[in-house]
Amino acid sequence: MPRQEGRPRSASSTTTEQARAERTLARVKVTVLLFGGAAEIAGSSSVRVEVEREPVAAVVLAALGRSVPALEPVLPSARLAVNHEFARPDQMIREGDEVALIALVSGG
Amino acid sequence: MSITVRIVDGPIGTDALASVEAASDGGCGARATFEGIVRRLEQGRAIRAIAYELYRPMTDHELIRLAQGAAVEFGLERIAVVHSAGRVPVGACSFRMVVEAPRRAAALDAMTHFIDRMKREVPIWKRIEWAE
Repeated sequence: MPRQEGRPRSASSTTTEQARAERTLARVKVTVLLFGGAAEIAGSSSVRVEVEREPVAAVVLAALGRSVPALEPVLPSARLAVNHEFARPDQMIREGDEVALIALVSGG
Repeated sequence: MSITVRIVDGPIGTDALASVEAASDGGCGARATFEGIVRRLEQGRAIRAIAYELYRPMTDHELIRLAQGAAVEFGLERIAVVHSAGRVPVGACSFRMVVEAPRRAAALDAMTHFIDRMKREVPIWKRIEWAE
């Protein structure tokens, strides 16, 4: 643990503010496209969720549930697609990726 | 091995895969054809039509991927599928599939396998237009 003794109080405060600012900067908004019943539940064909920078698919899926709680029942059987391909839960999502929720109900 | 995947707007005509069937050279002993028809009752209620929503181009990619997998797994010589996008009224065809294999069992099994996986994995959603 580095000693901070003797540091001016203002410097410590600045450091805290910087850390807070960095955390804010480290968060990004990801747009998730919705289709079918999921779009009807959300009342929209897309939802923007705020997550940490360069999140993995599982993090975005969880954030979607927090953003639209009504979607939570469909999420356990749903998957995310990134750039038109199913994503693994640990797959990183990068800026500019097209992200979609693929929640299918068998039938017909 | 021949793989054909098509998406058409609205109902599928009976000649949608005519060119695929005409191309057969007689090397296979089994050709199975399946048509999915929009049925009048859904959960006991009358409907007027189904509107199919697709997430393209992912829908196309996934149909091709499944068709390739089925062709390899069941030893198919030919697999062709066509699916509707948009509104299809009751009684009309919304899905057609043709497979050819050296023998009957492989052709029939491949068809069931493909359709089951399509319903689970291919991004196609149905919106029902109720009659009332």
